Amino acid sequence: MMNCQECEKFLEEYLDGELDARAGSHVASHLAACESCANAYDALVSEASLYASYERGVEVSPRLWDGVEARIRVERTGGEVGLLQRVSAWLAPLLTVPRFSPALTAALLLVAIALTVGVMKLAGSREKSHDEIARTDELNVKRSASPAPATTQHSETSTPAPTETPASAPGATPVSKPSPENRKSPGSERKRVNELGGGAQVLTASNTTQTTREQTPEQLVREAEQRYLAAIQILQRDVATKRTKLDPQTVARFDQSLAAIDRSIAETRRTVAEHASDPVAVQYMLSAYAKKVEVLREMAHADQ
Amino acid sequence: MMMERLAMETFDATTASQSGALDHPPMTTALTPIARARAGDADAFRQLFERYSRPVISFVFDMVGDRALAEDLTQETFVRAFRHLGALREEAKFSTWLFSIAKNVAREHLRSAERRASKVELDDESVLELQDERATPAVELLDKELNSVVRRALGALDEDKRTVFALKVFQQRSYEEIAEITGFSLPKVKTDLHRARAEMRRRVSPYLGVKQ
Repeated sequence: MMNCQECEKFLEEYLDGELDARAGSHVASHLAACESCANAYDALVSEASLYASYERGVEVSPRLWDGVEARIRVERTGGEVGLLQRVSAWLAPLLTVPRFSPALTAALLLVAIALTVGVMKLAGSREKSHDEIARTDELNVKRSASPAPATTQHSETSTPAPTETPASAPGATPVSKPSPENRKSPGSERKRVNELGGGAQVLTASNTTQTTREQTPEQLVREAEQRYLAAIQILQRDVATKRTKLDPQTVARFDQSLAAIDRSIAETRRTVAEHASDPVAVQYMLSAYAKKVEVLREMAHADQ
Repeated sequence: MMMERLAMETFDATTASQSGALDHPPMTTALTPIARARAGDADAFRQLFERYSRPVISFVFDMVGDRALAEDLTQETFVRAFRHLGALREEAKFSTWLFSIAKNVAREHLRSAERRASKVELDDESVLELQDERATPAVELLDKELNSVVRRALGALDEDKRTVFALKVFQQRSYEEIAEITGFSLPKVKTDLHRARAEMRRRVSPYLGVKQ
């Protein structure tokens, strides 16, 4: 026969139906014979009854499904839209959740942008080695003649594009009005258009400082990624021409590193897409791009 | 509450048995809502939503104590469920799996909102004041007041105890299911549940006799 101490120990499990048949029958027998334990059990039943009457006042509103359905539709469209939506979803809480203060968010973006600036400086330094300018002369003359875009960059010659980005970062001082000394020359812009080839988006961003200044954080991150891709494209072109001059073992080593980095890029992009709440996902992704640029650059200079 | 739980079990059992019927010639209509939702059928997923959204939103509300927020987090729960349906190993455990997503979503929110004092404090003095002012509470106010007391008492539990208590007492989950949902060991589930009951009892005890 079970004593009161043992019975008390099992009482909640008995109430919850978690005891096996044998233990359960022992408790039941004890409760039938012990008024004190029976009272304790009744008190538990009363509690359960009280909780059963608890009403939260929450209802499933039709808009709840509407919201789920809308988001699922976005998920199902997949591809770039889905990714951007998720990156955007990641960045939204980044700006509002106390864990990531605006200052920290701005710092994170500045890190990404600083990396981008470095990449674009590299890209700019390589401009003179290419002579595909003529093809887009007309386009660029038109752009520079247009009053609206007001590109507001720096010197008349080298490294035109990258330094635009910091002005667009949160907290950075915006360039309020283009001045003659900081207006970019048509030539420098033209060079960049040609150099970056398919990077039409980069051109667009560099042309419109005012627009850039108003860009959202997700746009900035997206732009940073695009700039990395453009820079990688340029460097890959350089590397392709120099590949044959390099020692095959060195080439193999570089290729191995690049393959590993590509895997990292793919993984980090997936992470950004799948784990929107991961606060460092974008940072890791941009770092992976930066690493690829670094390796390609090293490879391009390996014969020097 | 119990009926809701029984209905959910029946639904799970049905989907599981239908799942077994896949040995028969494949027919789209023979597929369970879970299988069809897995294949991207939004209507099937809606069926799942209609079946589980109420218990899920109740559970999330118990965790976060805010109706609008509970709605947002429930939406997030179902979106994640849809996204990761392919990772569900056993259809029979769909509701356990869904609740584990809901738990994760609620906890993520609570952790990110820690600085905003996510825990609804209920100190002993306020309970005593309520008790003193309302030694014999009016019947018409009792239910409303009781709901408020239970909600605040829940909010005063720490996160682990609140999770276990809500899953057991309100969602009628077995200890084993709670362990699966939370990732806690069975002994921890039992200990947390016992302590949660004791804390809740201390806070709602003034109402126990009155309610009967």
